[in-house]
Amino acid sequence: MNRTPSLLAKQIRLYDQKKRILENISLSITPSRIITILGLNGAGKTTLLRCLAGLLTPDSGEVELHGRPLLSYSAKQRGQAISYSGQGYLADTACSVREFVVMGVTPYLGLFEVPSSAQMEQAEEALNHLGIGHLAGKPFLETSTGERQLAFLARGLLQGTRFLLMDEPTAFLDFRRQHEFFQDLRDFVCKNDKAAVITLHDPNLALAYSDEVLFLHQGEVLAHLLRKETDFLARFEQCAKQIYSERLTLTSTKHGTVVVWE
Amino acid sequence: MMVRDRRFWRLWLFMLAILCATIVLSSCTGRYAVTWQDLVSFLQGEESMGGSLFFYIRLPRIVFVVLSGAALALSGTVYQSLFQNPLVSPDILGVTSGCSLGAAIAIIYGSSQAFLVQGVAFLFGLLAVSLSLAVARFAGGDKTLRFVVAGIITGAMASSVLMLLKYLADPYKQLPAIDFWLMGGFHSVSWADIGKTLPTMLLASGILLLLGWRLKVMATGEQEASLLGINIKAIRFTVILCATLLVGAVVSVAGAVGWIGIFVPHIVKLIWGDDIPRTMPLSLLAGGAILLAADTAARTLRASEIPISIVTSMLGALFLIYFYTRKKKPL
Repeated sequence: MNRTPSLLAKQIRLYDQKKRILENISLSITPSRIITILGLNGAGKTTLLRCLAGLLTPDSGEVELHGRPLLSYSAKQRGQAISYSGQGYLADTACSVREFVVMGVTPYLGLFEVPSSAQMEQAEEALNHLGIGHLAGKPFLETSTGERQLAFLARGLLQGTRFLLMDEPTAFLDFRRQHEFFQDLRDFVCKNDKAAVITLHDPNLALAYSDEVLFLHQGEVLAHLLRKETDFLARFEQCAKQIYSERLTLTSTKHGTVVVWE
Repeated sequence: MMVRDRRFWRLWLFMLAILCATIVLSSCTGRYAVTWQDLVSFLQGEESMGGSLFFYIRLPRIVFVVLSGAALALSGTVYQSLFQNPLVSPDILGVTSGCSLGAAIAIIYGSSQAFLVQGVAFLFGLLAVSLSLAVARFAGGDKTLRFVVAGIITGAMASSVLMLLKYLADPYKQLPAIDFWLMGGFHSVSWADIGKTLPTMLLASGILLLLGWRLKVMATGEQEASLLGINIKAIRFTVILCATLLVGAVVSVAGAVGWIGIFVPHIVKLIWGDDIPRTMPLSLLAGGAILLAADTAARTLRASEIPISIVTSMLGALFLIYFYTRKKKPL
């Protein structure tokens, strides 16, 4: 039996009637890294993430958690292992931001239990850490989409799962917060031996912060690149060109390599 | 959190005080006048004609009315939260008409044993709510409207079967019994009725109150809740079961008491906001006080008693007119 904690996609195939959404996707996710998924709109990024979270069941193939089918886990066990935040998701809830964040501890509560005041404080700390402590008492619905994305991150931190799945978590964040988000996440992932799987539209963020990059193209894996491999940058450029446009180029500057549009 | 907690308990105590005041007021009003001093002497256990009238007729009625109001309001509150729909309530989903049909069947084909009537009423209430939910699930279109249309369909089916039963019923013995019962009312409540329904009510409302946090998480969306480790199907089933049990317990004794389950939760939400762990205990108190006030009015406004549903429907309708017109955005 495999002892390292892992989340595996095994030859996932998913069709919407006749339309191909995902085809033959295999992916192994192991801790202490950030994995980003790049691809055009409609490439299947969100669908793949939802399959990994157990929200969708593939037509064939399987998602395995620690060597056992994800479907064989209870909701509670799954909630302790995998967290997920959807893209631009508008939770229709009247609760405050603090209450929303503290909901992250729900998988650890008994059936009739409510979060303790210590857990409330944890939520408060997580919000402070992300620089949105002042929002704690604000109704969730009155916050901006960017603030909500940070609240989702705080909730994910509280949920304390090994695997964090996030669908375009930085799409609505300002420039500074996008980078702070990834720096925080990188620290958190390394220190706590977690794995984050993130879909992105910005190849520069992917290039700057990911340990692995998965290129999805029309529902199939175009390439799965590891940063530690020597030809990482060359292959990154090649895949990005293929997906986005030939006009895309990698340029090295004295601060590192960046993606530019010629 | 602390400030909000304190605010909640202050409101809760305030509502408790209103409920107690309503109970005292209701104890003193009625065809047999009871004064404040009488009340004290009854409670000290002095034997008197008035005392036994009070203890065996008025008091059980008051107690059961408060319990019923609390049960119906709680049931409405959890239905609204569970389906994230301001119109879903025991009345709209057809629970009440289902329970009524069940009770009528029990009266005609069974005996008038309270246990049987309660059981069959509950069973049909559950059947009605399942039918409504099934229809709503397969129907397309607007989420709010779907439940309402499904409920109307279920209600129509239940009432047509009920009419058939009435048509076939013995016009001298069974028909008046059914009609009398369908109007709803608390005039014949005895301590025995309370004894038979109280365990069900306590159990069901206890479970609902304890599930407060789960319900709150589920109110953020079922997908979110399942990702947070909540067994959606099991919780939803338990909650519907308990909420329907509450309605069934009331209907089996007092018949159909309309509208409490829809407008009391709205009042509580207007005061406190949408926060199910808190609105549940608040709606218990508000429901008890409002139904008791309505029942007291029903038995004292005229020499002969007015059916309670007339009072609660009027109250509910007036409130909903206010509620709908004050809000600019549609429900």
